[in-house]
Amino acid sequence: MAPLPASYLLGGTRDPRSIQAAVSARFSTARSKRPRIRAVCHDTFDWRLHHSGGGAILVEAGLGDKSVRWTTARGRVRYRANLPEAPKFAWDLPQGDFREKLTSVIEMRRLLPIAALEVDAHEVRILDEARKTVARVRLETRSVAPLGKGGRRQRLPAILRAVPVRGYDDDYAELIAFLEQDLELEPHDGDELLAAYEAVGSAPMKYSSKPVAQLDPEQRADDAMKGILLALLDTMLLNESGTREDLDSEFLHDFRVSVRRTRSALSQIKGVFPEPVVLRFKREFSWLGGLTGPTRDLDVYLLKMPAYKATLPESVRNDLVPLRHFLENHQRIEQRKVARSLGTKRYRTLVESWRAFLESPSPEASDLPWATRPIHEVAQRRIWKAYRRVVKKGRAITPATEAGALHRLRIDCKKLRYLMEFFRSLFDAKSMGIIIKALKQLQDNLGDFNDYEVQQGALVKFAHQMVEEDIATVEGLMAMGRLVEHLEEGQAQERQLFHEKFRAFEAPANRERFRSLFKPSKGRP
Amino acid sequence: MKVFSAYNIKGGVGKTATAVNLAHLSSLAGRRTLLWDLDPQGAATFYFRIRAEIKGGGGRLIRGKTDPDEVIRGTDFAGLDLLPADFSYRNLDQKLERSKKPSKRLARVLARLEDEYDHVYLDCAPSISTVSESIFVASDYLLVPTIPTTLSLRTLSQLRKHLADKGPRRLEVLPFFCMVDRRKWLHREICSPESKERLDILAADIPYSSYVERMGVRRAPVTVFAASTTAAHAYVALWREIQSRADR
Repeated sequence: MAPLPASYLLGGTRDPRSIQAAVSARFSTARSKRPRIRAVCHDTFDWRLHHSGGGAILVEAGLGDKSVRWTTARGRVRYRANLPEAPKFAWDLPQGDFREKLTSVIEMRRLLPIAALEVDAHEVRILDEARKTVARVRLETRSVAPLGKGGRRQRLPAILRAVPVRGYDDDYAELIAFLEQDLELEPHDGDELLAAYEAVGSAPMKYSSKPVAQLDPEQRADDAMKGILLALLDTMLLNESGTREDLDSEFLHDFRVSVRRTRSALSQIKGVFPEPVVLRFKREFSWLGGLTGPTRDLDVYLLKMPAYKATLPESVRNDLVPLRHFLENHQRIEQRKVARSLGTKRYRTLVESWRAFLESPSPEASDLPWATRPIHEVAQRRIWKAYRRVVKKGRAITPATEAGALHRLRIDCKKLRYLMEFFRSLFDAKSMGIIIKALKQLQDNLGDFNDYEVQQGALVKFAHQMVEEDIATVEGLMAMGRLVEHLEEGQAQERQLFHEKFRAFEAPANRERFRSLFKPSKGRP
Repeated sequence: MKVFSAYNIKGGVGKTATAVNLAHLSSLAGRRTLLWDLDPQGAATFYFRIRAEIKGGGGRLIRGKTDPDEVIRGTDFAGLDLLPADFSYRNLDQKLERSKKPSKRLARVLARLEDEYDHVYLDCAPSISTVSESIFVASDYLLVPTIPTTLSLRTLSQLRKHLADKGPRRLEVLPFFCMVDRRKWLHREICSPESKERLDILAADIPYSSYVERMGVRRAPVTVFAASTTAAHAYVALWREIQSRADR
C-alpha cells in the first residue's frame, strides 16, 4: 500500500524555521521556495462540496489561464483543469471525469467565491547518496481574507506536510518517525478549509429549503403555526438576494417553495388566525407567487434542454437552438421583472408586516375556533381530512376518467404532503417516514403525468410565440413537434401506471398507519 | 494509455536521450507518464539518479510474478515515474523464451498499469530479438532515432520491411533524425524537408548537442537543466509532432 502524505499543524509554539533546520541537520537536504499560491475557494450556496466529505473548488489566476482544482479538506487535489475563466457552473468545465463528478455533487448550483487563500511554501527535499529526492517536507504559511473591500487578511496556523515519493517507502517512514517521535509533531486530521472559512466568518450551514420545525404537541395552534411560518419566511429571505441576482435557478426555486408552503398553510389551517390577516396575506403571497412563476417556468425548460436534446437523433439536435435562444431571452426579461418587484414597497411591506405579525404575541383568549387548541389536535384533524379526500378522489378514478381528475388529485396530494411535513415532528418518526415515502411515490406519478401535459402545452405556446417573434425555423418547429410526440408517449405511460401506484399507496399497511396516527377517536368531530 | 518505444538496432544513436526528454515533456504537459528502462545498461535509470535494481529481478516482473506497482519509483519530477532497469535484463531474451507467449509478456505487464498512466515510454536496448518482438507487440508508436547516414537509412528500411511483413498492424513507425550536424554536407542533404518527406521521416530533428551529452553529468533531462537551448527546443518540437500524430 502506498503511503499517504501527512499533515502537521504547527501551533504558535513551534517555529517553522527551527523545524526546517532540524530536518536539514538530520537528513541530507536541498531547499527551494515554491511560488506563492493565491487561490479563491468556491462552494455552492448550500455548501454542497463541504457537506459531501469536505473540499472546495480552488481557482488560481496564472499567466493567462486560471488553474481550477477540486481539493479535499486536507488539500489533496482530486481533479484539475485550466480554463480561461473561473467556472460558474459544473457545465463550464470541459467534458470528462472532473465535470461528471462535480455535476453529481453540485448539479445546477452556482459556484460562489467564499474566501481568498494565500499559501507560501518552502520545500525541503530529502536526498539520498545520489542526491535523488526520496521524500519532501513542505512548510506552508497560510493566510485567508474575505472577499470584497475591507476584508482583513487573517493568518492561519502554519502547516507542515510530509510527501512521499513513489517507491521510497522506507525513506518516508524514516522521515515520519523523525517528525513524530523526535520532533514530537502531531498528525493533523482536521478540515483545513473549514478553519479558513471560520476565520473569515463564513461558517458552512446545513441548509434545507424545507426547514423541519420541532413542535411541542401541547403548544397552542396559533403559536405553533407562527413558528412554522417564521421558518418559512427566513428561508425565503435567505434566498432573496440570490434570486435578485439570478446567481442560479435554485434560489428562485427555493424562494417559491417557501411562498407555496406559506400559502398552503394559510389555506389549510383554518380558524387559527384572524380572518382579515389570513385574507390579506393570502392575497399578497398569491401576488408574490404569481410574479415569480414565469421566470421559474423558463428556468425549468432551460434545465430540461439537455434532456430534450438527448431524445432527438444526433443529426437534428442543433435544430433546438432557436428554442434555447428564445427561452434564454425571455428568461432574462422575466428575471429582470422579478428583480424589480423585489425592490418595490409592496414587497418590503409584505415581508415586514408578515414578520411583525408572526413575531407578535398571540392574545391570551381567542374566539377563533382552533387558535388555542393544542397543535397536535389541529394537525391530526387536518391531516386526516386531507387524507380521506385523497383516498375518496383517488378511488373514483378509473382508466376511463379524464385527465382533469388526476390533476386535481395531484393538488390534493400536495396539500396532504405539506400538512404531513409541517407536523412531522408530532408523530412517530418511523411510520411518518414510511407513509410520506408512499405518498411521494404517488405524487411522482401524478406529477410526471401533469408535467408531461404542461410541457406539451408550453412547447406549442413557445412555437407560436417564436413564429410571432420571427425567430422560428422550420427545422426547429419540426424538432419541437417531435418533442411533443415524445412527451405524449410519456404521459400515456404515466397514466397506465397510476392505478398500481395508487393501489400501493392505499395498501392495507399504509391505511392502517394513517388510521392509527390521524383518525380522530370516537366522539370527536 | 499510449505506449511510445525509443528503438533502434544500433547503439549510441540517442534512444535514451529521446526517451528521457520526451517522457519529461509529457509529464510537463500534464500526462501521467511512466518511463520503463529496458536497457540492462540502465542509462535512463542513471539519469534519474535511481538505483538500477528491481526487487525480485527482471525475470519475475516479465513473468507477471512481481506487481509493477511495487518496483516503480517516482522521479524528481511531478507526474513522471520510472520502472528501473535491472542487470538481469541482460538475458531478457532467454527469460522470455522460457515463458508462455513471449511476444505478449511486455504488453501484459503494461496492461496492469492501464489506469495509472496516460503515456508510457520504453527505452529499449539496441538489439533485434525476442525482446524486440515483445516491444513491437506492446507499443503503439516506434520512435526510431536515426543518424543521417546512408547505412542508417538502410537499416531503417530493413526495419520497416520487417515490420510490414511480420509486425503488428497497429504499430506506427515514427523515425526522426538525431545527432544532426548541419556543418556536414551529407547531413544537410539527407535532412532537407524534401528528403524527409520522400523518406517518410518526421519533420522535427535533433541537432548534435553537447548539452545532451552532459545529461550524464547533470543527471537530469536536458529539458530541465538547459531548457532554453536549441537542443531542448528541438525535443519540444519533436514531442509536439509526435503528439499530433498520436492524437489523430
